[in-house]
Amino acid sequence: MSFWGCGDENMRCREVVRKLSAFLDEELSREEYLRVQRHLEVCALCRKEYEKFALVRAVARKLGDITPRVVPGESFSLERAFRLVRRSRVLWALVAVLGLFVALLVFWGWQRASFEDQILDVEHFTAFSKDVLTQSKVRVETLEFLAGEYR
Amino acid sequence: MVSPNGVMRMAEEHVLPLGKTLEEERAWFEAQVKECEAHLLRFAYYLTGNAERAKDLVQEAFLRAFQYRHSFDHRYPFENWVSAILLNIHRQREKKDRFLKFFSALWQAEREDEEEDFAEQLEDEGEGPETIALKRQVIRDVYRCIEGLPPKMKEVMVLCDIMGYSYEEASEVIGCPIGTVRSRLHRARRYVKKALEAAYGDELLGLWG
Repeated sequence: MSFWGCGDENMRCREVVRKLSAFLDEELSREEYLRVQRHLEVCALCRKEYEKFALVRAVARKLGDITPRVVPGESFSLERAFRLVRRSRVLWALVAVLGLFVALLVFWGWQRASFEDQILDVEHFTAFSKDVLTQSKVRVETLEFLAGEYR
Repeated sequence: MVSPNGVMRMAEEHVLPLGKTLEEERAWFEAQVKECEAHLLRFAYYLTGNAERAKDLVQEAFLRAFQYRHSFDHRYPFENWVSAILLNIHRQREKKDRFLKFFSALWQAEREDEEEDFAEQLEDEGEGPETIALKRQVIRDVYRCIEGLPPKMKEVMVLCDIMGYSYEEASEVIGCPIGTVRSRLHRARRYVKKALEAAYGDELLGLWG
């Protein structure tokens, strides 16, 4: 008895195993249902598979019978739901305003810092330019003096 | 009530009073919600594995359902329509949560605590302490396997096996053909079966009386 070839001439084990789930739920056409049923009567391997699928289904159904610990505190009311939505919208609006304020603050601080940097840069440049001018003036005077000496 | 063409017809009180006042629509909606709230909470719980998240999910699903109440096709059950909305919200949240996976250690601890209590709720039906302990263990293992399934397979298994939906109803909620539901469910069960085989070996078939 091979797993591939067992059963009636029209239905092989592989095909039967694929239909076991639907067979369990009685969701096959009458013709298919009877063919699977006939096959299961003669094939022990498929019968074992069928029993395993049935076990999985039975346990899952039992799981559904157990009422989970979801206790609806109060029944759903549109009034309360709308109130909650409004509250969450107000909360989000506040968060958005706060975020905007922080962003503005950061931007302002950054602008101020870069403005101060610019002032510093100008001062440095002015000081540097003065030095350069003084130095070049001295250098010119020295050159003139040396030229006079040479002459 | 099923009409000759197979379309589920709803009772008079399930029909949305379109064109009437907002107050009437609200009253109608709240009556529908009362009927299916517990059911949806269970569904959300099995999807999320967490009571607080489940409540939050149901709340949002009802709100969205109310916002889009005029698109509700009253030929189909209200419960399935809200379930489909709930599933969509859950999928969107799952996508967002992928970014937060690095907090998984904390998350896992929270889930394990709930799981322990969850399996303990299985009542002893005069089977003896050993059998009930074994059954609880199997339930825990199956629950863990379902939790670990890829999202699409998990959705189908929760709907068909845990919630007891038919393939047709599940296909309505998920929004895919019945054939897809069938193949996903088969793959999900096969996955759980393999995990149980690996854990219990040949003793698997004797586990559940």
